[in-house]
Amino acid sequence: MKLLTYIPACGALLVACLLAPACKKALDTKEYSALTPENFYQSTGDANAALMTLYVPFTSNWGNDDPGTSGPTWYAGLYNADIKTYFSKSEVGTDEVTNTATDGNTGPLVNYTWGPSTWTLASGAEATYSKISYVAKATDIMTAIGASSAVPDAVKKQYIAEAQALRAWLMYVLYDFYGPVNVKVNEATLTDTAETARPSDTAYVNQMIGDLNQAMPNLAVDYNGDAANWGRMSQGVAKMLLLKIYMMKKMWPQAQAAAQDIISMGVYSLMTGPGSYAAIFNTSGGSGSNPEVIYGVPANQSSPNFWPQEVFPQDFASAEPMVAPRAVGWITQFMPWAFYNKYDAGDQRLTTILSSYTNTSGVVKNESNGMPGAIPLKYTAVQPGLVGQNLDVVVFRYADVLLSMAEAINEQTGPAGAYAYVNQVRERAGVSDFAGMTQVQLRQAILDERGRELYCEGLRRQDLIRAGVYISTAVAAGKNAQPYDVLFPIPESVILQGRGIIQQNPGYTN
Amino acid sequence: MKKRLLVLMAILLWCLRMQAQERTTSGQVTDANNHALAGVTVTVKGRNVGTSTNENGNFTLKTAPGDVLVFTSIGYTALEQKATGNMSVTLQSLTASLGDVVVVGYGTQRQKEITGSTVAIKAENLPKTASTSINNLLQGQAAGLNVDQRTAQPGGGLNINIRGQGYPLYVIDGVPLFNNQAAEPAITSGGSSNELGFSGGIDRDPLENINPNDIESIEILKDASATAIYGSAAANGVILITTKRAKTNGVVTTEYQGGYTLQTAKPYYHLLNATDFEKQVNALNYDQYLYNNKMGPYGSNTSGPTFNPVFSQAQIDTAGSGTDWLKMLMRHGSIDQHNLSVTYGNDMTRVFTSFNYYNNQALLKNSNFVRYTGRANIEQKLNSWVKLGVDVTFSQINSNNASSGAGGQGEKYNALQAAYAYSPAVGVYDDAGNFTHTLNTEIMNPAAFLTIADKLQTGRVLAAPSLDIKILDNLKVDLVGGIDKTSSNRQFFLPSKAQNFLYPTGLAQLSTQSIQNYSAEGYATYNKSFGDHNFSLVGGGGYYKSFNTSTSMQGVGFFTDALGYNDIGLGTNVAQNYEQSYHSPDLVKISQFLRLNYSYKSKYILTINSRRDGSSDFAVNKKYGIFGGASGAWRISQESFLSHSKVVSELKLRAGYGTVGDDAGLNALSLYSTDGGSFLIGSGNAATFYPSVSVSQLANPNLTWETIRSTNLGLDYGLFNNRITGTVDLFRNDRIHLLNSVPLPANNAVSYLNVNIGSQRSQGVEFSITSKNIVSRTFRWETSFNISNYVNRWLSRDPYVQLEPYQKVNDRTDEVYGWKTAGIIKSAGDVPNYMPNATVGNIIYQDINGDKTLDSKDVVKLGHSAPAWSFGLTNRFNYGNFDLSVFLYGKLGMYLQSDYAANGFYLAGRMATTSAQNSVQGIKNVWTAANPNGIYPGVAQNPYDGNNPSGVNNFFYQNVNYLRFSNIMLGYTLHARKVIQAARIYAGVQNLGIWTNYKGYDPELAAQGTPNPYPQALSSTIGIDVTF
Repeated sequence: MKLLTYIPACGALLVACLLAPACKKALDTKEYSALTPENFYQSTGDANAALMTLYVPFTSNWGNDDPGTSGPTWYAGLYNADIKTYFSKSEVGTDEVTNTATDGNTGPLVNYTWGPSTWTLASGAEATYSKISYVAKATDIMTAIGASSAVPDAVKKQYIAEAQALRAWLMYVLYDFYGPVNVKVNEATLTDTAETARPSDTAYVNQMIGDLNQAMPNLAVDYNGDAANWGRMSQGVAKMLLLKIYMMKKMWPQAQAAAQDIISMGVYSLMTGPGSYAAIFNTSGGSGSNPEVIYGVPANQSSPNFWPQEVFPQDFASAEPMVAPRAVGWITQFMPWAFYNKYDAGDQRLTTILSSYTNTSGVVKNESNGMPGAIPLKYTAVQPGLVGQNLDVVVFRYADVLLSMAEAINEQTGPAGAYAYVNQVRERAGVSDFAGMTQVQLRQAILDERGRELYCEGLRRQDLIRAGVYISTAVAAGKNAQPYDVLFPIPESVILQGRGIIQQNPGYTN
Repeated sequence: MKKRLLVLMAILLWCLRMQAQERTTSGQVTDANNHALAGVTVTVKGRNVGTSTNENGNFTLKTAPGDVLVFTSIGYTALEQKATGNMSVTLQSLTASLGDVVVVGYGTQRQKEITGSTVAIKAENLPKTASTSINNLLQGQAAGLNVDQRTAQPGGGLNINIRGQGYPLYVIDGVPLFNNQAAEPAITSGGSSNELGFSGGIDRDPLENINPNDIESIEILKDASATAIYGSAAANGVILITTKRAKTNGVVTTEYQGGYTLQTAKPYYHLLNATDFEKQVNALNYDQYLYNNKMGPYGSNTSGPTFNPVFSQAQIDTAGSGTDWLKMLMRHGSIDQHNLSVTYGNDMTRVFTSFNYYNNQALLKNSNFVRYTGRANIEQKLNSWVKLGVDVTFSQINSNNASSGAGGQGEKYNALQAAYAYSPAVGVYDDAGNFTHTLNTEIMNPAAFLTIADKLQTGRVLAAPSLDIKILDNLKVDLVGGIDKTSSNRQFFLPSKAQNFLYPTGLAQLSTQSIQNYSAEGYATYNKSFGDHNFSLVGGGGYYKSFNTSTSMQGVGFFTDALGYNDIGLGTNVAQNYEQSYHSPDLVKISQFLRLNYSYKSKYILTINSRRDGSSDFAVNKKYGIFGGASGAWRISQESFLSHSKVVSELKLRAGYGTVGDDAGLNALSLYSTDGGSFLIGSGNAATFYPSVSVSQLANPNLTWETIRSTNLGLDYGLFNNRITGTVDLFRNDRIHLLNSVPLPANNAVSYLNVNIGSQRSQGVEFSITSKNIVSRTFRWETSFNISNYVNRWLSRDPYVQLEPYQKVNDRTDEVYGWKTAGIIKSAGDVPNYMPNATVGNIIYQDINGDKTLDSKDVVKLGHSAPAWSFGLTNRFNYGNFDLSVFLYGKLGMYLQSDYAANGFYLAGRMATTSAQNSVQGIKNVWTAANPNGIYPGVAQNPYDGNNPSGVNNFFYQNVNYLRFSNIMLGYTLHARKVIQAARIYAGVQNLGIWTNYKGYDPELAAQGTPNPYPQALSSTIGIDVTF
């Protein structure tokens, strides 16, 4: 009977279907394109990849997804030239650089009309506050690398030290914009769902200082001249961060000691000679091949430097002899003439700022015919065919150490001991020495000198705040600046979720 | 050859033999109302002999004793009757008959015994328009099925939901497609997930590669009592699609359908011409200058630096109307369609084959969509109890993609955005023959987009072999396999001559994506009757696996444009080149399912469905789930007190309850991601671009499917001998254990966790009615109308999520929150006392709580984004050989923002800059010092915007209603006698018009949040449908 030939087939299939729950393995979730605890932290390469997570926020490139957010959400990098970055928000809207764009990222910034809901975490516009999760990531990575048996001890120590120093740097960035925030530095709390309050100022500052001091012994002294490792955290960078913290806190004796510590390393020096100022930013072979740069974000076409592109006007054609004919720019930022005019004629630093250019119609534009401000180019060795340049973004350099030293001494003991440091910088620029000033006069002079020397290096906002003139400068320019604007607001979503445990910065209305 | 001759001779001999015994049969065919039916096909079963009825319903045919005649006509149930000398035949209308058999999961059921909430749609009743996907045709056809166009691009995607839930499960010829998504790879930017706008977002419907002409019927299962047999994937309802099979009439039927459609653009954005553009740029720049320098109405300064207008008076005087960039991107479109089907069936074999060619040269230049599909549905009986079958469809889509859809900012603008933004005052090329630039030089020239080559080839194979064994008369076993594989291959080349800002030396991307579904199911069906008791039991199980894979690579920096994407290795910009690949986790399911039907005298009916799913999607502690539903019906019209009613011919009360799941995209593992970006370490040649890896998800071993508890109460009615039929349904879906990504503290390394928490309730009403208004011999008029609504609301929420002060726990899910506005500040006197820092041109926000502070406490509920009502209206007329159908659909009460505002067209800042972008006419209404009657906000920053946590104000919002005149089609049917059995010629117009109060481009697209919409077309079609 033919029927019999089919019954086994049907029967087998039905039985298979009904009894299939027996094959439990088939229902295990299998990942093909993601890493899991089973296959990660298994080698030194894995540990390095984990460590890189903490470097990524400092990229010169546009930014990155934060994989720890739902979505995930994309955030701008800290040292990119985009308007949403830590770097740009530290410059644009100050007396040094401004911008006439009216979009939601620029308009509120240059007009001082921001509020707690202006830049949200969910939209990606609040790029700097978002870095708070990288502090927790650093805590996690330090623990995980420490626990990994696959990593040799020496490497382990170095990687943990780098992670710890990066954690302090991220905390410094957050502190600069928001004051002390509730970062997670304790492994045990990393996945807690309970909100935590903001720490005291002292506790927060001590945490940063402690991290840097703890990391210090296991960091390499410096990576200047090390083409394979330039861009990693070194003792030089950690010391610079200490100096920055002490300066911000106006802890002048500690600041002086920290500056002296860097000077005493004997590693760093000012570049000198004709054209040396421009050369700091144009060093072929990377900024690390130059003794003045303490930290530069490495850049090439994988991760370019977009600053020049952001400052070339939209009708830019050339500005010879400094800039050969090239494509137009994005004109977002420019240096107001009032600031440009603070430079003495013949100041070597002016060779990196364009006060006129030839536009695409062949017209030479300058202050007298509608150029809204000077072009704070900084990086003059731009290649005509490139949108993003292969020039490292200079973040920390020795001139800042000298100017900080001068400021710290002037604040403690007055001008006498300070001139030597500030004048090194002035002499390199080819301008006359400071002399014969009162403490108050030198304070103002150093602030101006920092502006001229360190323009567009992401320092102006904090310099003005430290000098107590951030708000008054903006008000004088007709902006809607309020006294509480010295700190940016904590994003509204964080305050809401913090249900009273997380306090908003004073003055802001949720 | 020899064999064929023999066969031919045999046939001839057979015909001769038949001729010897033949006689004449004649008769009349009428419908249930005793009206003559013209054009009914009458064939002799088992022989290739046939005719059709004339206008009086009469036919004459030579028959032999014992012949059986088969009567078929569109819209009527086929009937077989033994040939007699003079016959009187009555055909039952399909639409009216509740005696139809409809497809349900794993079997069929008589319509009158259906207990759940389902809608059965015959494809022949759908509008006969040129459409790529059956989903387009379902728009407005069934109460509770919401189909909304997302984009008007060829093959464009649709948002589909049943009763306001998510994307439903599709089952094609019994094969569930658990992984049903379009396979078009996106063009990526530098390896990140950010799409480059200029590449164009392709947004396609997943069913684009199924030929709509092949579809026989569609059943929509709306409530859980019906869908429970699909278990963990059925939360959003199920759409069962059945393709055509051959009739067993022994006749070879060949049908050809061909049509041509002309597409012309509906009125699109009205942009400023060159003169107006230059004037407006100067005007807004001057206001910005006043604002920046605190002059005029913005401050006390009386002088400032020199103002330099962007355009000189001489330029404005000579500007004229300039370049119409949108017009330059657009053309008249066309759709050519040819469909040929050949079918043959007898008692042993049924073969349906079809071929379709569909060529849409769409409205935007460089966008076209060419599809070839083939289908074979074959059934072969091996003997009286074993049947083998295979349904195979193959499709190939070749398309070019114009850059449209989702776009980016500035340098990432797509072609449409570039055309909106580009200065009309410049021409296409400069004197050197290069593309011109607009004021914002990062925007690529709209004409340059036409130099992009963006080819996409998508192939799909869907094969379902089956074996059907009748073990006993009332016991049958079905084995069904399913293989569904869609593969796409995208080739993209941006030449250097396009002068793209980011990639001036050119960019090429090659990407592939593959989506695969495999299934094997076996089930047994047992029927038993005892007197008035009828039982039917279906039980079985299945194994399913699906996954997707993709690869892509990019090359940047080409010394030549000549080779396009064909030699991607030539890209010299090594740092920007990349390769990527991805393999999704496999979804594996092992399931068992069961259905019991019981009916007593066809009067009291009970259905029980259940399914047990084991799934790899579920977390380790939750591998198995059981889902079930029960529903009952009472056919009141069968009761003695109604059975003789002249008014009520059918009345059925239905009630059902069930639970189903939603397991979409679960992954409960702890994961590390490589998507967090890379960092460059080192200098020069020694530099290394290191990838980063960071924790991206926390494990949740208890993560499980969402559960939907659905309750449905329905009434099917037929009045006046089913002249009027319809249904009313009330439903409630409680979606519990919502799969939520809940926020963890923002300072955690991972700031979200996937958990099951919170619940929502969706409830609503659905009503449909079909009425044969006029039924006479010469004139028939039938109207179908359906209307439905649903309201989705929160029942409970994640206790961790802190609600804003303006949110309530049980708010609707489509609530639009925001600040209320009261116009703009036109003079200093208008500044409210609670907005002391505001200035002229700022929007006036209302201080709702009167505390003199604008903050979250002033945010109110402004409206609801989901429509209050959705409806569809079809009218069909027949007069003699003419038929006319008219179809309209619409929505009422959606709270929407003007898409002009959403695109930023009304922002003063768009033009108040030296890098100004063009805009729509409405931007002339921006308030400026020189235009004090302006009604839109001016250049001044509003210092209060940053205090609005909703980010929304109602300035450009409104309550929107619309009614779209979707389709009108006129046909004429010819009844021929000889070779051609029937022919119909038709002409129609689609998207004829829209009545709406919406102050924007298109409310339907806007409601789907489509930015920069692909232009809508007015389509005029002529076509022919011939049956041989």
